[in-house]
Amino acid sequence: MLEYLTAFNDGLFRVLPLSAQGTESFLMMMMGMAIGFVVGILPGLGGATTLALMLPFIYNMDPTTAFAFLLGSNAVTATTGDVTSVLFGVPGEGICAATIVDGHPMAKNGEAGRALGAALMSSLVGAVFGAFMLALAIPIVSPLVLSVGSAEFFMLAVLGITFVASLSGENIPKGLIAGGLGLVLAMVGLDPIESVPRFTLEGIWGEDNALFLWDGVSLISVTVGLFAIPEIIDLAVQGTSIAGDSKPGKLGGVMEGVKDTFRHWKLVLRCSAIGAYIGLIPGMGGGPAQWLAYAHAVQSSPDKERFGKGAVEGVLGPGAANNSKEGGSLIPTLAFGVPGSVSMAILLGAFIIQGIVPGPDLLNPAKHLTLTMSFVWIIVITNILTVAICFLFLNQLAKVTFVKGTYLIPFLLFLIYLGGFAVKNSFGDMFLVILFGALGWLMVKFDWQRPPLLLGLVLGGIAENNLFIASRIYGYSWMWHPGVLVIVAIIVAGTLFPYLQARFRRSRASENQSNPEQKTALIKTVAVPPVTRIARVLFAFFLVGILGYVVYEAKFGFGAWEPRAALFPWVVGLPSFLLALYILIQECLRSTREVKVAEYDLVLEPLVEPIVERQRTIAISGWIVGFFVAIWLVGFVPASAIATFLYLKFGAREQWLITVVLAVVCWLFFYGVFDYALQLPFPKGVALEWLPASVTDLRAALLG
Amino acid sequence: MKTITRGIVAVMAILALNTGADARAEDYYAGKNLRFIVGFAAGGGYDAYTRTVARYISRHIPGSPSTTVENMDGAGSVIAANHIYNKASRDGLTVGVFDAHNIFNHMMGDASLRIDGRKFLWIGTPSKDSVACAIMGFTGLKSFDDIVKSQKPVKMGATRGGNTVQLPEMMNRWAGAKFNIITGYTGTATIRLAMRAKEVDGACWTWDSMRSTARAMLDAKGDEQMIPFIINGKWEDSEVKNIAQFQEVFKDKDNRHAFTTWNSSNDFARPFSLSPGTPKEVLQIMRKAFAATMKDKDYIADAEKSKLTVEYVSGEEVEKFVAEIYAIPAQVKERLSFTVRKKKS
Repeated sequence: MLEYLTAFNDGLFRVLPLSAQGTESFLMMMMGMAIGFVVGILPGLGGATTLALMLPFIYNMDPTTAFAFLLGSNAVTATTGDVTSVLFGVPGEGICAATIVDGHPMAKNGEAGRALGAALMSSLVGAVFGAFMLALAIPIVSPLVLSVGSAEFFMLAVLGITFVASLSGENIPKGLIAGGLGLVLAMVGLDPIESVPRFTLEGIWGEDNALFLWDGVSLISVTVGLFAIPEIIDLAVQGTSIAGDSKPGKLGGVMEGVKDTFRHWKLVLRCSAIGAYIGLIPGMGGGPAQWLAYAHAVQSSPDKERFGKGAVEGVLGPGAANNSKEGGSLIPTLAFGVPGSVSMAILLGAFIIQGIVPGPDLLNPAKHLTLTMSFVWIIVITNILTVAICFLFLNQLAKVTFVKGTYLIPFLLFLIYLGGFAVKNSFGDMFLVILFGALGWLMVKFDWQRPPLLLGLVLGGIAENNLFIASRIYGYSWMWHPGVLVIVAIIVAGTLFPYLQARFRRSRASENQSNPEQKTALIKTVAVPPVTRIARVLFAFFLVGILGYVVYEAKFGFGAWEPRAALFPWVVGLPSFLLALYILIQECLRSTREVKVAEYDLVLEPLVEPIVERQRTIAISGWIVGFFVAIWLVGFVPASAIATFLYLKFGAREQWLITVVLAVVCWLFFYGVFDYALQLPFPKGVALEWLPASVTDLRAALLG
Repeated sequence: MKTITRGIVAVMAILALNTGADARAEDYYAGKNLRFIVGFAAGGGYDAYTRTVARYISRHIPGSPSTTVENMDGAGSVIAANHIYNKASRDGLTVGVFDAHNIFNHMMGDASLRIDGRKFLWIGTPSKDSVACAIMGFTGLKSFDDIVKSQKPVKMGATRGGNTVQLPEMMNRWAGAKFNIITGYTGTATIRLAMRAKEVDGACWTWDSMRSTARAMLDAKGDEQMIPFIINGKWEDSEVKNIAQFQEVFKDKDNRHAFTTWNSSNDFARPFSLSPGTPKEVLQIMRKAFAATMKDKDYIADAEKSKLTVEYVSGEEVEKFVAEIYAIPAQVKERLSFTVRKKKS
């Protein structure tokens, strides 16, 4: 016991500038922190890739300094990644996507400062929680990690999937369909058991392009597309700044967000625990933690309808979870050498370089326990410093939401496309961004919830893999494993509890007798215009078509010659297909919809005339595709100047001066940061390849 | 106006004449950038080797070009292999690094590979892989003979393809083993965890990886110990010095030939190559530079620090391996039909 405390103490002193070695570690920690800060904020820069690039620098460092550098960077990417999620609806890091769902609407309500304060403070709490869990769990870590076998893993995924219902808002069938769609998307690619290609569309666009889908649909492209693109369209249509007509007020400030974190301290702690536990389980990856925490925040709130429109709990939950996950995922990496995520895998490489064997040695007081404890302190210190530094200028940063939208759009579009491209250095992901952008916009328009889709996407693979492994190894007996039974109990409790809660409240309300009138007074029925009705029906029909294709393929396509690979798609696809048919019929018959009184005024007098709205939507969609074409034709860096210029001048009709200035700034930013400093492998641009060789030589000769 | 036009035409003519410049060794690479395209994501073994080579190869190329490393991951490096073969420029400025197994898979008829292994221009490879299999102490089995004699269905954890699946398959078909292959694990790391959790009994992958990443399991005692029981290749490490060799346990001549052909991809693991059609002189420059890099003191020091083994195989030798793969006799190819990914019939 004493040795642990000593190591805990010594670990701290190793990274404080109180000795020669401590000073070196502290300085490298600061350097790493600065790198992680920037990497987190910028979409298109991945924490994992950056870590890989940092590896060669640690050759000549002692272990504490080396990890102060690496971990210092990794620990803060999840903190600053929330910043762009809140401000722009573009996730800075893949694991910060869930913060968009409520964080960005808060920014649109003029509460950007509050959202940022909440995100950062909850990130800090989460990080500290994760770090201390690392410290405390060390003595008992082995049984904790090993207790989650494939059967338990599968049940955890099922538990997560049941959260879909709570994310569905008012319309449960629609939410379930979205969840089913997400689960189906998770199955695109080579199946994990025998590499059977599923839904790779070879028949449609040839084997060559189908290769792109072999590894599945990337989570980042889907997330960025579903959330960021509709935001851009909305921004262009509204014609104002991100915050719209809201006035900056005291209540929207950063400090309010900090207070929110403490007001909802129980939720923050619970979500930190969720994140840490998920990080602890190797193989979960970064996706589930944030979405499960978000779902939990929704579930545990008495007033679920606020979510998606700017409920601060929707920021607090994921904010805490994606940070505590980092501390949690260090545990299996250190204890077993089993990395829980890509960044951890790279850190593992760093251990090997330093000659340290992950395993009992790292938990042994006589050997490397002090080093492990210094990790705890590195996470804590870097996060505290990052949040402190952020607070210095957060309120200023929040002012960006009051800048005219058209100035921001070109810049945001490039960040979005870059985020997509950087996943695998491939245009395919950029294309996915557009595709899912269109889907996301349609989903928003026709009242379909998006978070269930994400939840299905992140959990589908885990569910399928582990179900098959468990059934191969245990036959049917896995269903009686103690861990499985515990999780089943949790699922049952979780499903029944809100239902019982609602019944209890209703019986309470009927005692008061006042609710029925109140309820009807809160809702008005509004007629749905015929054009919208047709559009809603078409969209439902489209979804029926997609799910129908899935069911067809599962039965007659690849399912005909490989039924095992078709099992999951069938089990998920068929109910979703039937539900979609039900919704289709519902949309055909529905001629009215319910609108809350608070929003009724908007229906009578919308902020933007419908005709203008339609024009602007078409225009911005054209520009969104246009930017893609520009990048494809001339490459990222030239396009950043050319497309920005064209959009600002001809799309937004801004003045010459501001157009030129912004185009130059945009170009400088992309060239300076991504091309010159980071040397990202931007493709040259197809048009440049068509030019005859002599012209390109001339150009090279002229430009030196 | 006329003078200007004539001037431009003259300039263009001069430039056009110059585009056919021959690759003089001294200055072909001067002022240019050499791109390495790796078929896997940053942080993995392929990426580590490529970046280390890229750091030191330039000083051995006349003209000292700058180097960049790009990751083109996807489809197990099939995308990168296809790109190098079909789309990359043939000017020697793009070097591909992808999974050597793609060559074998193409020979076996995988249509997703739009390549011909024989037409790649092979520069060389910095490493070899030694495949090996291990079993956990809690099974009570300690050697390959033990496993075969016991006839217990030993559970081997596997990913969806590659060494983890095909090695146990081969031992089942050709050496009388009764392995139960549990596919679906996401990587060797998760398989290792499953081994510790006693969910599976063992697994096959490479000794190079085992000896570094699974060191703690090798050093453990009793039930927790991981025991290698079969390997391909000679190592001085005590754990594998005297265990069975794959070639010994496959009795049939054709089976041994099949294994050798299948395994040859591991003998030139992580090869560096140029696109077909690149001028021969350029290939020579790169081969010389690569060979020199393998002997470069600084490269060796860096490799050692990263625990990357240095086992150079020259471009000429890789060509021989590839030729042998494609020269496989029909009845031997038949033995390997199980390695082909299932497709619609």
